[in-house]
Amino acid sequence: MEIYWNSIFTAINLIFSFDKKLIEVFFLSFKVTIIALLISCLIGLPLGTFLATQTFKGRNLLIGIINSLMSLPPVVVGLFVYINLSRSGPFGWLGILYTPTAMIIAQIILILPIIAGLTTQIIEDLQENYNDLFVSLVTPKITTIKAYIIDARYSLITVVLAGLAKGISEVGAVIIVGGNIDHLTRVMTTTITMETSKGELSLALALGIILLITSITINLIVTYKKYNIKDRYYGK
Amino acid sequence: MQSFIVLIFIYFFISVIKAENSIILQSTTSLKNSGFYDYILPLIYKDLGIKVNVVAVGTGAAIRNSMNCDGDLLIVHSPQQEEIFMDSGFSKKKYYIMHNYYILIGPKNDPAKIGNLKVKSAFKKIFETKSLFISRGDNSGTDYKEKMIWKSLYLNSSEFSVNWYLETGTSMGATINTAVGLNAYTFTDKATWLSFKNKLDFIIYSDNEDFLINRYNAHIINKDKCPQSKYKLANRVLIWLLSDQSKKNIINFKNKNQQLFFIE
Repeated sequence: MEIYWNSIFTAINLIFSFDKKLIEVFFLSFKVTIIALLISCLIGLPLGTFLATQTFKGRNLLIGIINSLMSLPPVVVGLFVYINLSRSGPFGWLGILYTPTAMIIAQIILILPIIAGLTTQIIEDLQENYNDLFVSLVTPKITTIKAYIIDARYSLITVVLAGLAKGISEVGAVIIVGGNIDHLTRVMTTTITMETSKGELSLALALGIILLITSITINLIVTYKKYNIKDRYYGK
Repeated sequence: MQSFIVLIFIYFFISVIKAENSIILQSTTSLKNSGFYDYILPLIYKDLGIKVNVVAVGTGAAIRNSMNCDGDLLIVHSPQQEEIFMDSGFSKKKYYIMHNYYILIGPKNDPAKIGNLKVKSAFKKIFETKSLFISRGDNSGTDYKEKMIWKSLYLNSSEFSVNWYLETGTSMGATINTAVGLNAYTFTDKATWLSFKNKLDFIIYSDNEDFLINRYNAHIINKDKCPQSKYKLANRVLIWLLSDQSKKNIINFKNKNQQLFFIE
């Protein structure tokens, strides 16, 4: 039991002493995941809506592939990105292996299928209600896609949160392509792995607690905001 | 929205450009986990202005990464694996940096009755009593050395039963955590053990034997094989590491008043 008290104490201590290393690692974690998430959303939300609303040859196959990509183990993604960005690989000339950029690329590969896949499902359900209306009004395709995304925005927030959770909690990919380099590519999850392997179990657990507190905070804020806005528009 | 996309691209370019005057050091984990790099790298930066980015993985992985040209300098501790690395032309010469010893650790109640035995006899005892033993099994320098000891007893570790011989396939620290959790023996390097925090009642059994010497060697990645490698910067760091001043620093590096690395 002692280890729980130790780690809670360590966590509180780390937060209130504004530990310089913790702040650095913490912000890099979020910087990497937020950028990866934004890029994934820019691609994934329109892509998902497109797949849900359009019919073309190979559509079902594409949706099937995207859904299966959701189950990719992060380590495999890390390895794939490593092989490509390695100096002996096809994109070695970029020189971005062991930089935050490489970590962002790996996380995009992890997050994008989640965003695109879940968006497809949500918009598909929505479409059944609206399709006849849009067809009868002869709405342009772009307008239709926009309308669907806007109408499904509350469900899509949950999708974005799922993407954030995947990115921020993942360690397998970023440790391979980032290398856990001090002051450069060390993030929360790789620090936890490293501290565990140093036998600093309570410090590792403390970092886990901080990660958990942060993600609870984000989720609560987003949920409250969501219901606030919903109430304002639709009443209680 | 457009300005945001532009910002992302600028960010990408900055990440691409800023890698100047830094090298990538592929290294074994023990030097990082023992705090050695936290101690020595700021000194290198102060003297040379070169930022050394350490990627700490097992010796096997460090060598494989270097063979993919993803490093400028390599520090590992497995003579046989280094031999292969040099034979493939990735390094012209190995430079001895420092050494310490491999150790056998286990629970205080000593289920295999090892006591003060030398390491080979201790391994034999563990085999005879079928006491739980945790192996790295990850092709690292420590793993290689452990397999060598079994081999020297004419035993084939790949045929051992999982009833007592477990391979974790993970890092040294994770393996020690497993051993501590299962009350089992394991084989490790002294630097990792001395700086390890989750020791519980574990103690060192075999130590300081000539047979157990653990040499850390540095290699500069051959620029003929890897034209992109930062050969000159790596060379400057290596010369610094081999200097008399740096030797003094290495000897002075201590954890809880115990010297972790030695120089011949």
